[in-house]
Amino acid sequence: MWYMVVGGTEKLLAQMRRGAIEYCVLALLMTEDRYGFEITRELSEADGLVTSEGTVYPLLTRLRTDGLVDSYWQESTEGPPRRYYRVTPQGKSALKSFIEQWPRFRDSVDDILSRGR
Amino acid sequence: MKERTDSDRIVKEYLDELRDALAQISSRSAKEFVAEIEQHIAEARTDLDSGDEVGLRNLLERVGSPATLAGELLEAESPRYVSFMDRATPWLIALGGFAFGIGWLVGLYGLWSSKTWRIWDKLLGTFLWPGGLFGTFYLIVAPTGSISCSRSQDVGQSATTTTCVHHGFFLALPLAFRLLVVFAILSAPLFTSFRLSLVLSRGYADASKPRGVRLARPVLSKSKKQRVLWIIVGLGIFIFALLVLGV
Repeated sequence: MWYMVVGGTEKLLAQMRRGAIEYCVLALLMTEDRYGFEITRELSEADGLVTSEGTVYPLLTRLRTDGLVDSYWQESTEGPPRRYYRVTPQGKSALKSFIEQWPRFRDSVDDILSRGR
Repeated sequence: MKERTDSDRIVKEYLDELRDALAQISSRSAKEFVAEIEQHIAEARTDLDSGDEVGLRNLLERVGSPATLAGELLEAESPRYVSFMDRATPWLIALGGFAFGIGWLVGLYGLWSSKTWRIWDKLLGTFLWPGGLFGTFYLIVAPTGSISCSRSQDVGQSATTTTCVHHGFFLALPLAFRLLVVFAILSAPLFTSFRLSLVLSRGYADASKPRGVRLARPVLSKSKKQRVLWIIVGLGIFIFALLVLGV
Protein backbone atom coordinates (compact mmCIF):
# COMPACT_ATOMS: atom_id res chain seq x y z
CA MET A 1 0.00 0.00 0.00
CA TRP A 2 1.47 3.30 -0.94
CA TYR A 3 0.06 5.19 1.96
CA MET A 4 2.13 3.60 4.64
CA VAL A 5 4.34 5.47 7.07
CA VAL A 6 7.64 6.38 5.45
CA GLY A 7 10.86 5.61 7.31
CA GLY A 8 12.22 8.38 9.51
CA THR A 9 15.40 9.57 7.80
CA GLU A 10 14.04 9.21 4.32
CA LYS A 11 11.10 11.33 5.25
CA LEU A 12 13.28 14.02 6.75
CA LEU A 13 15.49 14.17 3.72
CA ALA A 14 12.49 14.25 1.45
CA GLN A 15 11.03 17.14 3.43
CA MET A 16 14.27 19.09 3.23
CA ARG A 17 14.49 18.44 -0.46
CA ARG A 18 10.96 19.63 -1.00
CA GLY A 19 11.60 22.80 0.94
CA ALA A 20 14.80 23.65 -0.88
CA ILE A 21 13.41 22.84 -4.30
CA GLU A 22 10.40 25.05 -3.67
CA TYR A 23 12.71 28.02 -3.29
CA CYS A 24 14.66 26.98 -6.34
CA VAL A 25 11.44 26.98 -8.31
CA LEU A 26 10.59 30.44 -7.05
CA ALA A 27 14.00 31.63 -8.12
CA LEU A 28 13.49 30.22 -11.59
CA LEU A 29 10.21 32.05 -11.89
CA MET A 30 11.67 35.39 -10.91
CA THR A 31 13.02 36.05 -14.38
CA GLU A 32 10.07 34.77 -16.40
CA ASP A 33 6.90 32.69 -16.22
CA ARG A 34 7.53 29.09 -17.05
CA TYR A 35 5.50 25.96 -17.53
CA GLY A 36 6.04 22.68 -15.70
CA PHE A 37 8.19 20.92 -18.23
CA GLU A 38 10.59 23.83 -18.53
CA ILE A 39 10.96 23.96 -14.77
CA THR A 40 11.66 20.24 -14.46
CA ARG A 41 14.24 20.50 -17.21
CA GLU A 42 16.12 23.29 -15.47
CA LEU A 43 16.03 21.54 -12.11
CA SER A 44 17.16 18.24 -13.62
CA GLU A 45 20.28 19.95 -14.87
CA ALA A 46 21.39 20.47 -11.30
CA ASP A 47 22.97 17.25 -10.15
CA GLY A 48 21.11 15.34 -7.48
CA LEU A 49 18.50 17.99 -6.93
CA VAL A 50 15.47 16.22 -8.28
CA THR A 51 14.96 12.49 -7.93
CA SER A 52 11.79 12.14 -10.03
CA GLU A 53 10.82 14.81 -12.52
CA GLY A 54 7.15 14.24 -11.90
CA THR A 55 7.47 15.20 -8.25
CA VAL A 56 8.02 18.81 -9.26
CA TYR A 57 4.34 19.08 -10.17
CA PRO A 58 2.96 18.38 -6.69
CA LEU A 59 5.50 20.88 -5.48
CA LEU A 60 4.07 23.46 -7.83
CA THR A 61 0.63 22.59 -6.50
CA ARG A 62 1.85 23.25 -2.97
CA LEU A 63 3.33 26.59 -4.01
CA ARG A 64 0.00 27.45 -5.55
CA THR A 65 -2.08 26.58 -2.51
CA ASP A 66 0.34 28.49 -0.31
CA GLY A 67 -0.15 31.50 -2.55
CA LEU A 68 3.48 31.78 -3.58
CA VAL A 69 2.79 31.18 -7.25
CA ASP A 70 -0.10 31.65 -9.64
CA SER A 71 -0.86 29.49 -12.62
CA TYR A 72 -2.63 29.93 -15.91
CA TRP A 73 -3.26 27.67 -18.86
CA GLN A 74 -2.13 28.64 -22.30
CA GLU A 75 -2.85 27.00 -25.61
CA SER A 76 0.20 25.57 -27.26
CA THR A 77 0.76 24.94 -30.93
CA GLU A 78 2.99 22.01 -30.10
CA GLY A 79 0.49 19.91 -28.22
CA PRO A 80 -1.86 19.96 -25.23
CA PRO A 81 -2.36 23.26 -23.37
CA ARG A 82 0.42 24.19 -21.00
CA ARG A 83 0.08 25.30 -17.43
CA TYR A 84 2.28 28.33 -16.87
CA TYR A 85 3.43 29.43 -13.45
CA ARG A 86 4.26 32.89 -12.25
CA VAL A 87 5.57 34.04 -8.90
CA THR A 88 3.34 36.18 -6.68
CA PRO A 89 4.46 39.09 -4.49
CA GLN A 90 4.29 36.76 -1.47
CA GLY A 91 6.47 34.29 -3.36
CA LYS A 92 8.96 37.01 -4.08
CA SER A 93 9.24 38.08 -0.47
CA ALA A 94 9.44 34.45 0.69
CA LEU A 95 12.31 33.88 -1.69
CA LYS A 96 13.99 37.06 -0.59
CA SER A 97 14.06 36.03 3.07
CA PHE A 98 15.19 32.53 2.12
CA ILE A 99 18.09 33.96 0.14
CA GLU A 100 19.11 35.94 3.18
CA GLN A 101 18.98 32.97 5.54
CA TRP A 102 20.16 30.14 3.36
CA PRO A 103 23.93 30.83 3.18
CA ARG A 104 24.20 31.06 6.95
CA PHE A 105 22.13 27.95 7.43
CA ARG A 106 24.00 26.01 4.79
CA ASP A 107 27.42 26.99 6.13
CA SER A 108 26.45 26.14 9.69
CA VAL A 109 25.22 22.72 8.72
CA ASP A 110 28.35 22.08 6.67
CA ASP A 111 30.47 23.20 9.56
CA ILE A 112 28.87 20.90 12.08
CA LEU A 113 28.76 17.98 9.70
CA SER A 114 32.45 18.38 8.96
CA ARG A 115 33.25 18.27 12.66
CA GLY A 116 31.61 14.91 12.77
CA ARG A 117 33.91 13.38 10.18
CA MET B 1 -8.23 6.65 -36.84
CA LYS B 2 -4.73 6.90 -35.52
CA GLU B 3 -3.22 3.52 -34.88
CA ARG B 4 -2.01 2.99 -31.37
CA THR B 5 1.67 2.35 -31.30
CA ASP B 6 3.32 0.35 -28.60
CA SER B 7 4.76 3.55 -27.22
CA ASP B 8 1.35 5.15 -26.94
CA ARG B 9 0.10 2.05 -25.18
CA ILE B 10 2.94 2.23 -22.66
CA VAL B 11 2.15 5.86 -21.93
CA LYS B 12 -1.55 5.10 -21.61
CA GLU B 13 -0.87 2.28 -19.16
CA TYR B 14 1.33 4.59 -17.13
CA LEU B 15 -1.33 7.30 -16.99
CA ASP B 16 -4.01 4.77 -16.08
CA GLU B 17 -1.84 3.54 -13.25
CA LEU B 18 -1.37 7.11 -12.15
CA ARG B 19 -5.11 7.74 -12.13
CA ASP B 20 -5.66 4.65 -10.02
CA ALA B 21 -3.02 5.73 -7.55
CA LEU B 22 -4.75 9.09 -7.28
CA ALA B 23 -8.19 7.64 -6.59
CA GLN B 24 -8.02 8.96 -3.04
CA ILE B 25 -7.63 12.58 -4.07
CA SER B 26 -10.38 14.93 -5.20
CA SER B 27 -11.14 14.29 -8.82
CA ARG B 28 -10.50 17.82 -9.97
CA SER B 29 -6.99 17.99 -8.51
CA ALA B 30 -6.24 14.51 -9.75
CA LYS B 31 -7.46 15.31 -13.27
CA GLU B 32 -5.39 18.47 -13.46
CA PHE B 33 -2.35 16.67 -12.18
CA VAL B 34 -2.66 13.83 -14.66
CA ALA B 35 -3.16 16.36 -17.43
CA GLU B 36 0.07 18.09 -16.47
CA ILE B 37 1.99 14.84 -16.32
CA GLU B 38 0.52 13.84 -19.66
CA GLN B 39 1.68 17.11 -21.12
CA HIS B 40 5.11 16.64 -19.56
CA ILE B 41 5.46 13.19 -21.08
CA ALA B 42 4.25 14.41 -24.48
CA GLU B 43 6.85 17.13 -24.50
CA ALA B 44 9.63 14.90 -23.28
CA ARG B 45 8.80 12.37 -25.97
CA THR B 46 9.61 14.86 -28.73
CA ASP B 47 13.27 14.25 -27.94
CA LEU B 48 12.85 10.55 -28.54
CA ASP B 49 12.56 8.58 -31.75
CA SER B 50 9.04 7.36 -32.39
CA GLY B 51 9.90 3.70 -32.00
CA ASP B 52 12.24 4.08 -29.06
CA GLU B 53 10.55 1.96 -26.43
CA VAL B 54 13.56 1.73 -24.17
CA GLY B 55 13.98 5.47 -24.24
CA LEU B 56 10.33 5.88 -23.38
CA ARG B 57 10.57 3.55 -20.42
CA ASN B 58 13.61 5.41 -19.19
CA LEU B 59 11.69 8.63 -19.57
CA LEU B 60 8.81 7.31 -17.50
CA GLU B 61 11.28 6.16 -14.86
CA ARG B 62 12.69 9.65 -14.71
CA VAL B 63 9.21 11.07 -14.35
CA GLY B 64 8.68 8.77 -11.39
CA SER B 65 6.49 5.83 -10.50
CA PRO B 66 2.75 6.49 -10.18
CA ALA B 67 2.97 5.50 -6.53
CA THR B 68 5.69 8.05 -5.83
CA LEU B 69 3.89 10.83 -7.65
CA ALA B 70 0.61 10.07 -5.95
CA GLY B 71 2.36 10.14 -2.58
CA GLU B 72 3.89 13.50 -3.37
CA LEU B 73 0.61 14.96 -4.50
CA LEU B 74 -1.06 13.71 -1.36
CA GLU B 75 1.63 15.39 0.68
CA ALA B 76 1.23 18.60 -1.28
CA GLU B 77 -2.54 18.68 -0.98
CA SER B 78 -2.64 18.33 2.78
CA PRO B 79 -2.91 21.53 4.77
CA ARG B 80 0.32 22.61 6.40
CA TYR B 81 -1.17 24.31 9.37
CA VAL B 82 -4.39 23.96 11.25
CA SER B 83 -5.84 27.38 11.85
CA PHE B 84 -6.47 28.59 15.35
CA MET B 85 -10.15 29.05 14.59
CA ASP B 86 -10.45 25.43 13.51
CA ARG B 87 -8.83 24.20 16.66
CA ALA B 88 -11.08 26.37 18.78
CA THR B 89 -14.33 25.52 17.02
CA PRO B 90 -15.10 22.13 18.61
CA TRP B 91 -14.52 23.68 22.03
CA LEU B 92 -16.70 26.66 21.25
CA ILE B 93 -19.45 24.41 20.00
CA ALA B 94 -19.33 22.31 23.14
CA LEU B 95 -18.77 24.96 25.80
CA GLY B 96 -19.22 28.33 24.15
CA GLY B 97 -22.88 28.44 25.06
CA PHE B 98 -21.95 29.17 28.65
CA ALA B 99 -20.52 32.51 27.54
CA PHE B 100 -23.98 34.01 27.19
CA GLY B 101 -24.51 31.90 24.10
CA ILE B 102 -22.12 34.10 22.16
CA GLY B 103 -19.31 31.57 22.33
CA TRP B 104 -21.48 28.99 20.67
CA LEU B 105 -22.46 31.42 17.92
CA VAL B 106 -18.80 32.16 17.28
CA GLY B 107 -18.15 28.43 17.13
CA LEU B 108 -21.02 28.08 14.69
CA TYR B 109 -19.53 30.75 12.48
CA GLY B 110 -16.16 29.03 12.64
CA LEU B 111 -17.78 25.72 11.80
CA TRP B 112 -19.66 26.90 8.74
CA SER B 113 -16.93 29.10 7.32
CA SER B 114 -14.27 26.43 7.61
CA LYS B 115 -13.12 24.09 4.89
CA THR B 116 -12.21 21.43 7.38
CA TRP B 117 -15.69 20.01 7.80
CA ARG B 118 -18.19 18.83 5.27
CA ILE B 119 -21.87 19.62 5.16
CA TRP B 120 -23.01 16.66 7.24
CA ASP B 121 -20.66 17.44 10.06
CA LYS B 122 -21.62 21.09 9.85
CA LEU B 123 -25.27 20.15 10.25
CA LEU B 124 -24.36 17.83 13.08
CA GLY B 125 -22.49 20.58 14.85
CA THR B 126 -25.42 22.93 14.50
CA PHE B 127 -28.35 20.74 15.46
CA LEU B 128 -26.88 18.25 17.87
CA TRP B 129 -27.10 20.19 20.10
CA PRO B 130 -28.03 23.84 19.63
CA GLY B 131 -26.12 25.69 22.30
CA GLY B 132 -23.81 22.77 22.95
CA LEU B 133 -23.55 21.62 26.53
CA PHE B 134 -25.17 24.82 27.64
CA GLY B 135 -28.18 24.05 25.47
CA THR B 136 -28.63 20.60 26.94
CA PHE B 137 -27.85 21.83 30.41
CA TYR B 138 -30.61 24.35 30.03
CA LEU B 139 -33.06 21.65 29.05
CA ILE B 140 -32.45 19.80 32.26
CA VAL B 141 -32.40 22.78 34.53
CA ALA B 142 -35.37 24.50 32.93
CA PRO B 143 -38.73 24.16 34.61
CA THR B 144 -39.57 20.52 34.24
CA GLY B 145 -43.24 20.54 33.96
CA SER B 146 -45.21 22.61 36.34
CA ILE B 147 -45.59 22.83 40.01
CA SER B 148 -48.82 23.78 41.56
CA CYS B 149 -49.05 24.65 45.14
CA SER B 150 -52.17 24.89 47.11
CA ARG B 151 -52.71 26.00 50.53
CA SER B 152 -55.29 24.41 52.59
CA GLN B 153 -56.58 24.96 55.97
CA ASP B 154 -58.25 22.22 57.71
CA VAL B 155 -61.22 23.03 59.70
CA GLY B 156 -60.38 23.21 63.33
CA GLN B 157 -56.68 23.69 62.85
CA SER B 158 -54.83 26.96 63.04
CA ALA B 159 -51.92 26.05 60.84
CA THR B 160 -52.10 26.07 57.12
CA THR B 161 -50.49 23.40 55.16
CA THR B 162 -49.03 23.99 51.86
CA THR B 163 -48.79 21.18 49.49
CA CYS B 164 -47.01 21.39 46.24
CA VAL B 165 -47.62 18.92 43.59
CA HIS B 166 -45.23 18.37 40.75
CA HIS B 167 -46.80 17.92 37.42
CA GLY B 168 -44.83 17.03 34.42
CA PHE B 169 -43.64 13.83 33.00
CA PHE B 170 -39.94 14.01 33.69
CA LEU B 171 -40.00 13.84 37.41
CA ALA B 172 -42.64 11.16 37.33
CA LEU B 173 -40.17 8.87 35.66
CA PRO B 174 -38.25 6.47 37.75
CA LEU B 175 -34.78 7.64 38.62
CA ALA B 176 -33.09 5.31 36.21
CA PHE B 177 -35.00 6.72 33.26
CA ARG B 178 -34.33 10.24 34.30
CA LEU B 179 -30.64 9.49 34.50
CA LEU B 180 -30.79 7.88 31.10
CA VAL B 181 -32.42 10.94 29.59
CA VAL B 182 -29.93 13.24 31.24
CA PHE B 183 -27.09 11.07 30.03
CA ALA B 184 -28.43 11.05 26.48
CA ILE B 185 -28.91 14.78 26.42
CA LEU B 186 -25.49 15.51 27.85
CA SER B 187 -23.64 13.06 25.66
CA ALA B 188 -25.11 14.45 22.44
CA PRO B 189 -23.07 17.68 22.36
CA LEU B 190 -20.04 15.82 23.62
CA PHE B 191 -20.39 13.31 20.84
CA THR B 192 -20.74 16.12 18.34
CA SER B 193 -17.64 17.95 19.46
CA PHE B 194 -15.72 14.72 19.63
CA ARG B 195 -16.70 13.99 16.07
CA LEU B 196 -15.67 17.50 14.95
CA SER B 197 -12.29 17.13 16.63
CA LEU B 198 -11.78 13.76 15.05
CA VAL B 199 -12.39 15.12 11.58
CA LEU B 200 -10.10 18.03 12.37
CA SER B 201 -7.19 15.85 13.39
CA ARG B 202 -7.58 13.01 10.95
CA GLY B 203 -9.49 14.42 8.05
CA TYR B 204 -11.90 12.40 6.00
CA ALA B 205 -11.00 8.89 4.94
CA ASP B 206 -11.20 9.80 1.28
CA ALA B 207 -9.06 12.92 1.46
CA SER B 208 -5.39 13.70 1.95
CA LYS B 209 -3.66 13.44 5.32
CA PRO B 210 -0.84 15.51 6.83
CA ARG B 211 1.63 12.77 7.47
CA GLY B 212 0.96 10.17 4.85
CA VAL B 213 -0.53 7.92 7.50
CA ARG B 214 -3.92 6.49 6.76
CA LEU B 215 -6.43 4.88 9.09
CA ALA B 216 -7.18 1.28 8.32
CA ARG B 217 -10.86 2.18 8.29
CA PRO B 218 -12.73 5.29 9.27
CA VAL B 219 -13.64 5.39 12.93
CA LEU B 220 -17.09 6.70 12.22
CA SER B 221 -19.12 5.57 9.27
CA LYS B 222 -18.97 7.76 6.27
CA SER B 223 -21.79 6.51 4.12
CA LYS B 224 -24.59 8.94 3.52
CA LYS B 225 -27.25 6.54 4.66
CA GLN B 226 -25.66 6.09 8.05
CA ARG B 227 -25.23 9.81 8.41
CA VAL B 228 -28.93 10.31 7.83
CA LEU B 229 -29.44 7.73 10.53
CA TRP B 230 -27.25 9.67 12.94
CA ILE B 231 -29.20 12.85 12.28
CA ILE B 232 -32.48 11.04 12.80
CA VAL B 233 -31.17 9.64 16.06
CA GLY B 234 -30.15 13.09 17.10
CA LEU B 235 -33.54 14.53 16.25
CA GLY B 236 -35.15 11.62 18.03
CA ILE B 237 -33.26 12.38 21.18
CA PHE B 238 -34.19 16.01 20.81
CA ILE B 239 -37.89 15.34 20.41
CA PHE B 240 -37.89 12.73 23.13
CA ALA B 241 -36.24 15.15 25.49
CA LEU B 242 -38.80 17.80 24.68
CA LEU B 243 -41.67 15.45 25.37
CA VAL B 244 -40.12 14.04 28.46
CA LEU B 245 -39.38 17.38 29.98
CA GLY B 246 -42.93 18.43 29.39
CA VAL B 247 -42.13 21.53 27.35
